[in-house]
Amino acid sequence: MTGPDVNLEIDWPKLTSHDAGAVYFDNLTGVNYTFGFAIPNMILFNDLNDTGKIDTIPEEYRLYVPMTDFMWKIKETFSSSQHEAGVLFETVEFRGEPMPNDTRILIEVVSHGFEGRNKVLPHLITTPDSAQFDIVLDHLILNLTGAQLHNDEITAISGFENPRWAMELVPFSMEDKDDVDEGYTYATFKSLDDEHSPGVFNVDEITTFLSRQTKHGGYLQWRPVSYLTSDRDINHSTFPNINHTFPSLEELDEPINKSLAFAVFGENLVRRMVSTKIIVSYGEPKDNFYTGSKYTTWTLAYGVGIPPEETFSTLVIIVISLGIGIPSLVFVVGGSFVGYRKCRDK
Amino acid sequence: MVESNSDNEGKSFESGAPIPQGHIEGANISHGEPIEEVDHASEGSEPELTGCGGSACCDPRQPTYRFSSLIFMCLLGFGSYFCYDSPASLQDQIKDDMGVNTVQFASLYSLYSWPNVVLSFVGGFLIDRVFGIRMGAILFSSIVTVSQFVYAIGAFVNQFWIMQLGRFIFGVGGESLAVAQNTYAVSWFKGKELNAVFGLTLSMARVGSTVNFLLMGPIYAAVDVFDEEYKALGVSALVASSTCIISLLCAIILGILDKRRSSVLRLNTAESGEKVKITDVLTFPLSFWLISVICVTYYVAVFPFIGLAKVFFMRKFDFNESQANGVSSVVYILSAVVSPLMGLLVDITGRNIFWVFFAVLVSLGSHAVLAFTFLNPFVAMSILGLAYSLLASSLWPMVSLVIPEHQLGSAYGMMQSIQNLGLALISMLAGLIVDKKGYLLVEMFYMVWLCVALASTAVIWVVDNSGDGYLMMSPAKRKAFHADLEKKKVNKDPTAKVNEAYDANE
Repeated sequence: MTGPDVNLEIDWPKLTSHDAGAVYFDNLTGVNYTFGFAIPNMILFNDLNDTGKIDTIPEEYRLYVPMTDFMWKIKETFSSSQHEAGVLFETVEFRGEPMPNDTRILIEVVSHGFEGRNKVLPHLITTPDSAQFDIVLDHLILNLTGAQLHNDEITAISGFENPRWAMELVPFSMEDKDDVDEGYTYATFKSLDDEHSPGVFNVDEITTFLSRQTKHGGYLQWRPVSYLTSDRDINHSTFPNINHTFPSLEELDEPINKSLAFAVFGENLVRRMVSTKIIVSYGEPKDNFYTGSKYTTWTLAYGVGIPPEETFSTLVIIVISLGIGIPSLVFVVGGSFVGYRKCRDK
Repeated sequence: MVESNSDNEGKSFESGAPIPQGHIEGANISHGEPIEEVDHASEGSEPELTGCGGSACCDPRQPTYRFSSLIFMCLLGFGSYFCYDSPASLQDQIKDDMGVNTVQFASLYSLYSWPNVVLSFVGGFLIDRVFGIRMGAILFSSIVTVSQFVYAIGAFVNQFWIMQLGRFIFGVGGESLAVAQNTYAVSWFKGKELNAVFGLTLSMARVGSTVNFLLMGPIYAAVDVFDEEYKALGVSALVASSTCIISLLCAIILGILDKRRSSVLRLNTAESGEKVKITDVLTFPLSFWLISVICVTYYVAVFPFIGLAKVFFMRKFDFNESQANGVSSVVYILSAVVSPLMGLLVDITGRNIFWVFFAVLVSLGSHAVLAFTFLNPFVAMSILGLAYSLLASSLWPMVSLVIPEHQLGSAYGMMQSIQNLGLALISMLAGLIVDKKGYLLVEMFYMVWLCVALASTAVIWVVDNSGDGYLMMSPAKRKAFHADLEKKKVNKDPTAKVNEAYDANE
């Protein structure tokens, strides 16, 4: 978050050689707060016990796929409205080879200039101080081990019979590592209203220390649901599992060194800033693993300030009013009528 | 007074049993509760029964005879309730063995339900006008039995369309059999323990369904000795059809008991010449249509809701699958246990409309608790179960209180058809709302329907209050009311004496 007089500068030669400081702000004093996240790796894991969670899976059942192994293209940009701007990326190559037509990762980043709802399920709340990230793992059957793929009936990916995808997420904030007592914390809230994300009552959040203390920190917010079909039907959905403790990130390994985050902050990501590594694994017991649907989505809002809270919509309030109003009216009118008749009879 | 509670999330939810009265047409009293206990000995027109025939359990004039018939009445519907849910209890096996998807599987139920939007009315009318109750019950039991055999054969030869055909035939017979069951209940228990008897048949429906869910899995496992698994499916369906044979036997025995009762009590001698016509429905009073409205709007908030509730409990209250199943089934279990008691309560206190109002209001409260709180849903579902049992015991009898007896068959058939249609449409709408707008809104959707039910109840109350206030009378007042009515009738109508004899011996 910056003032209006701050520009983002890019030194392209440095960026292509993955040097720190390749991307910078021309007026650092105008930068109020910085918060974001990087995605170093996708992880394919063999979910031996069908739990959907990756934390108990031994390393030999995990295959790491650096995001830098993909070549991306911009599929679409949306900037038609003054209140909405976004970009949709799509993978086109994997490790130098063109990807099959139906195999792709789609990442959409949209920011809104108004308080409202994203048009896409799970319809997360939009605010001017936040953006939304949506990832789709579409038919992501990758040959990571050299094993032959038979596309007609895929039951295993890269030799894993119970394949699931997980994703590393590295959030970072400019809060000073030495000043804050604790970094990120996770919380989940239950709302009565699932109108905007049918069947999902929880809202999950990860907040930084400053977000909780001064309401001027960073946050991640999402509905715990991953849709398994492109029409985002709750009946075909699974669960994004996330670790709830966030140890500070101490060193920068290979894929992060090539990330945009590194291009902006360099070693400060681990030296001064509060960074951590989260692993989000998609799945829950009996959902037939990734190969069951070959499609997984996840949507995440990230922003500055305090996470927006769910409230009842106007529709809900109207229906509640009617629900209380009609029986009350029945009582009053019915009671008056009966009372009137009794008086008259007497 | 009738109540149809063949509850049925199963069957088409609740079968408002037509109560055709082929053999009791003479009993043409507007507020159909007979009531006066007439001294049988003084009737003089009944044969003297001696020997075994004169013993309590063989003498139709004795309560023992009536209560022994109750066993067969309850078992009459058992087979169809058992078989109705047999696809659901083997859902996974059917999908795997027959290689069908969820939509095709669901057709096993929709093929039963949709025809009954019309067939309920036709079935009641046919029993009323063409077959009579005895032949009707036997005929429809036979259809149910045959349909289950067809269903089993379909599985055995691995032809899913034959299974679907079986379910369609089942739909033709099943709902009308529920009509026959309730008709028997009315004709034997009218003015006596009818509410409680209907409560009991409701219990049996639940028990049939529950036993099915408990048994079919183990039966399938026990007969799973074939290379082709669909054959095991066929054999288990065949085993299930034995319950239909039991029900068919009950229909035959009931027919014999009923014939003896009719001949001993000379019930068939009364022919008033009243012919039931399809167009009779046009003459039904406003109260009847309002009762039908309540019937649809209330049941929407119970059965389609329970259909969606399992996932709701899992998602909102973080229940696991077995906990969610447990809470969902609370309404069924409670209604199995409590319905006869609720029926008894309504038998004793009368004032049906008050109980309907109370039950709808309590159900509204239960739904509000489910929608707007995180309170353990076990509490709300238990209360809903009690309210549902109370409503089932008080709503259906009201029809017989506002419709002349010779039209009751058509009335119940019509009500059941309306219910089938309304529930089918509203269930689809509810499914759509859940998918698009979530559970809070679908809960509110149900609550709006309950408000409509509440408003309809209030209107019936007002209409009734403007007339003779019969619906709010206690049983004692109703007796006095009938005695008064009978006196006037005897003075005017010479055939009424026969009616009186019938009523007294009911």
